[in-house]
Amino acid sequence: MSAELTNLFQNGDLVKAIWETVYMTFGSTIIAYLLGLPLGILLYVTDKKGICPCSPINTVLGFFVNLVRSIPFMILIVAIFPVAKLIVGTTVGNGPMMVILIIGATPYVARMVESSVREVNSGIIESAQSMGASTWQIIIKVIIPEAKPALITGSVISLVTILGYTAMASTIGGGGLGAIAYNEGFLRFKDDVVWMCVLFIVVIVQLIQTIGNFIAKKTDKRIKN
Amino acid sequence: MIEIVSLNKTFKSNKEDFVALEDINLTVNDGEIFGVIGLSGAGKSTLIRCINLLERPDSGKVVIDGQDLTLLNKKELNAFRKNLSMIFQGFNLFEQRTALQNVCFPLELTNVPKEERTKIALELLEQMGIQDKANSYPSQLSGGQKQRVAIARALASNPKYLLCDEATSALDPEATESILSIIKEINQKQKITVIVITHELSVIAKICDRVAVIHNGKVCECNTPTQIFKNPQTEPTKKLIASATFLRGNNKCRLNLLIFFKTVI
Ligand SMILES: Nc1ncnc2c1ncn2[C@@H]1O[C@H](COP(=O)(O)OP(=O)(O)OP(=O)(O)O)[C@@H](O)[C@H]1O
Ligand SMILES: [Mg+2]
Repeated sequence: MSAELTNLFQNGDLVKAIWETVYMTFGSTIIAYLLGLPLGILLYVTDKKGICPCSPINTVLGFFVNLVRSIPFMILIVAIFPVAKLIVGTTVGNGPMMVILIIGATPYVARMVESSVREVNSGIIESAQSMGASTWQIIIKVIIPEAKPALITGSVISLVTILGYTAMASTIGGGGLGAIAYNEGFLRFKDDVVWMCVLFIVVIVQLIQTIGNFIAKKTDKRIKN
Repeated sequence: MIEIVSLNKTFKSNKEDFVALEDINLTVNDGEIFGVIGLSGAGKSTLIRCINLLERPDSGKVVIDGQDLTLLNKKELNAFRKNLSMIFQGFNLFEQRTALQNVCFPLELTNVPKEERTKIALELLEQMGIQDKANSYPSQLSGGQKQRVAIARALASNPKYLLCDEATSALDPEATESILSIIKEINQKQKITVIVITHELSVIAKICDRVAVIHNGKVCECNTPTQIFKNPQTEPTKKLIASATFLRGNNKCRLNLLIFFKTVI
């Protein structure tokens, strides 16, 4: 173990970086969901075969979602730095990084939500329509509850992806494991620092995945028990 | 009373248009069980889906109790649909809700207080003989039990009409029998008018008062089951009857037996 790594352990920088990675990931995922969930559902219901077809909304929304999705995240970070600066007032630190993460993650989440709700059996939605449920009632009382297990699985996948984004973003600015791995490890040729950061990221991913799968399974009533 | 007046429905696709229903005229009287029979692809499901406007007809009227449904706006239609429940071949229960919560659903839509809707739902489940399954999820129920939940759910809004699209086609003979007798019972006791879509003549024979035979999107014959069996007028009807397995073999004898049972019941 190199002196640098020992030092990172002792002065608490590593623990701080883990915490920063976790809160940036969860924080931006939560906000990305607050925005992406309604967007994903809007994409789904306004589809030509959806319950409330509206081609103009669907096309425009789909275009922007695809636009952001098609830009590699690394490029997006650099490209939207000025936007982040406008919103947060500074280009350094975790604040602007979160803004960038949210801009990058929201379209991803919207598509994830769209594909999750698409899994709801169309017959079930039709039966709700036959009972006289309004579009809003169908969204709130049928689509979201019926898609819940898929939505949870999707949010786990999103979390892991956004964790990757967080690590990537923090090499450019802001804190977190990515910053330590890049600045303290890679740039100073300390391989063990890099590997230690990788190890922690792997552990975080495994934890998220395991807990998420457990919750998804618990909530799914389609599984016989 | 349900009146279907010169109803047409064409499915448009990129390649070519497909005429699913052509100039349908039918009247379903209050209190009867009206059957619609035809081969697969004849347009039966499309017809029943046009009745509650799950499918919007291209032209023609669907008049229920004097109201032409095609003239209603979305909100009025949703309100009207509470009169017009539907059950499906695939049951279409909410999989993340218990049987009880499924039956509560139509009552939630109209904001019936929780206590009251639970009470109504429990009564309906009891009527269907599955009160012990109230807290089971659909994945834990058999096909027959699922259809009972679906019927209870359909009855929860206290409808005047019940539309059944192949409600027994996914069930074994025994479950079919019990579902049919439930349908018959709710028709007689609760005076609910029922439209039954099926491709099985036995279903028609057992519960229907009148039946329409539909072929290639057109109604080719409409009469009582007895007349249809005894005296089929058109080619498609004759073919349907000839193909009915339960009439094979000692044809005449079984037919008479059937008619006998119908008159006795
Ligand atoms: N949404 C649709 N788009 C295009 N064609 C359709 C659509 N729905 C139904 N059809 C066509 O209309 C015809 C009638 O379909 P329908 O489902 O009403 O038949 P059915 O009599 O109920 O048959 P089954 O006994 O198999 O259920 C079929 O040929 C079908 O391919
Ligand atoms: Mg059908």
